[in-house]
Amino acid sequence: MTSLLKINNISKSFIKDSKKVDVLNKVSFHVKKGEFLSIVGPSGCGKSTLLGLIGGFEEYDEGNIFFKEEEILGPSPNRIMVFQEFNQLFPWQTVLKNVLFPLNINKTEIQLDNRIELAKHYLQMVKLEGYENYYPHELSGGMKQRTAIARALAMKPEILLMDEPFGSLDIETRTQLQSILIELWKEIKATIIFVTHDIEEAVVLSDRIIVMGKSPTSIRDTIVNNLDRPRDRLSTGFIEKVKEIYDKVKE
Amino acid sequence: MLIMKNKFINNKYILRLFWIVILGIIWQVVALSQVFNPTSFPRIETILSSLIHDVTNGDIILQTLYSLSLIFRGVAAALIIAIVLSGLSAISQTFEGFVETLIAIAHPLPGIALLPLIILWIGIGEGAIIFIIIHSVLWPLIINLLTGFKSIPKIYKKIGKNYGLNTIGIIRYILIPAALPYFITGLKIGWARAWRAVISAEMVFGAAGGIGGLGWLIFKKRVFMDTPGLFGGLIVIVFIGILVEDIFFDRLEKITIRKWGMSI
Repeated sequence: MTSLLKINNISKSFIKDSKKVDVLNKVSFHVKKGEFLSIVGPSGCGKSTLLGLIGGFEEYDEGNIFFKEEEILGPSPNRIMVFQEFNQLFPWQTVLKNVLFPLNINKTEIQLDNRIELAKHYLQMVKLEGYENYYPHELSGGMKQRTAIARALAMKPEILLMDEPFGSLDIETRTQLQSILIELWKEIKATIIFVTHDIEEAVVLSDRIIVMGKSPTSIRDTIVNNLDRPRDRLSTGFIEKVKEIYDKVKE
Repeated sequence: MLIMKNKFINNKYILRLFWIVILGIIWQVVALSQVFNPTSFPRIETILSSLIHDVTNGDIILQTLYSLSLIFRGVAAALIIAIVLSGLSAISQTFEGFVETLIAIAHPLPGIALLPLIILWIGIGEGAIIFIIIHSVLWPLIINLLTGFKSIPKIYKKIGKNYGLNTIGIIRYILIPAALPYFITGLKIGWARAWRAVISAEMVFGAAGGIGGLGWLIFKKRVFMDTPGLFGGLIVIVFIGILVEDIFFDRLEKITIRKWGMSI
């Protein structure tokens, strides 16, 4: 199977206080269609920067990123990003309108009634039926993130980019959202790149886990995760996998 | 009983009415005691009957509508200028520097201080009053719009780009609604300043522009020693102020930024 996304020798640095700070150093990996890939590493290791480059929000200094054999030049509805921040919804729109808004811009070939149905369908998939007319400030953090996921999925992006989307949630809500995400991923056969610093979260969710070290970072290791789904956090295999990755991060 | 009492006090409008009645009673007691000359401190019923007379003969209504129409024209013009100037500032930093310099010079100047110059340049008609209104509204509006555009979270623009919006789309669907709380604040400050400015300017210009307006009306009342009529005019000025500030803007905020949890 050919790769959907090819990242070749990407380097990126920032200027901070008139000094050059290297963040990424010759990072390369491929992402297959339908794959659930996680990127873990300590905070400040450049994993969010890497995701931002794939999203096209920032430019890279060296190397190149190919999406379906075309170089990435900017953001596109093909690669939708879900952020960690709760304020990624527009406060002046209801939950339904937030999900509908990108469809109204990009999917004008679909009739309005069907667009509304589509938005409602995705809200149902993230278990938010009945909240269509709520405004974001009336929602909990978990519900806001679920709305953001529904909004992203309704666009049927070819890759879903998730930048620690559950990072600000309490552990119970986080676990609940992880299960919802896995269900969604299976149902719509999405390709997901998921950035997190929570190793357990990476092991629960993904097929493959990229471990990054302290910046300037190249990839330390890529670990294949073949544990049977649904994954049991208390099983020996699971705990061993977590430990394997933990040791890699600590190295 | 206790709950009823709390409810009574919690209702803003009932509380407001309660204190107006108390102040009215105090006024009436002072007036009846004749400590002051009744021609300069009239009783409430004299003021009210004078007001009713002015309302029924239509004079005060005409003057009020005229003042409001001046404000409306001034605010509309200021709105267009403010949107253009702050919009261009959002695009170009050089231009923003220019607008900020203009604000630094013009904002501290009270409209009335410009009067002599305006008379010299524009004359003493409607145009001069509208100029003062524009001056009063424009700067607070621009300041708030500039702050509003700057306070928009960067993530909104990122999301707009991610979902395929072009620059015009980002302005229309994201920047404008996101800056609305600041826009409303600017409009509120602008209105308050315009309402005060128009009354003062009308007093100075008189009926030169044609009708004269509310400011001219109360000035005339003073000239003819019609004190109850003067108070009637003041009541109308207060009433319009409350109507716009407490009811119009309150409603506007309730159906927009407060509903969206965006109050600043």
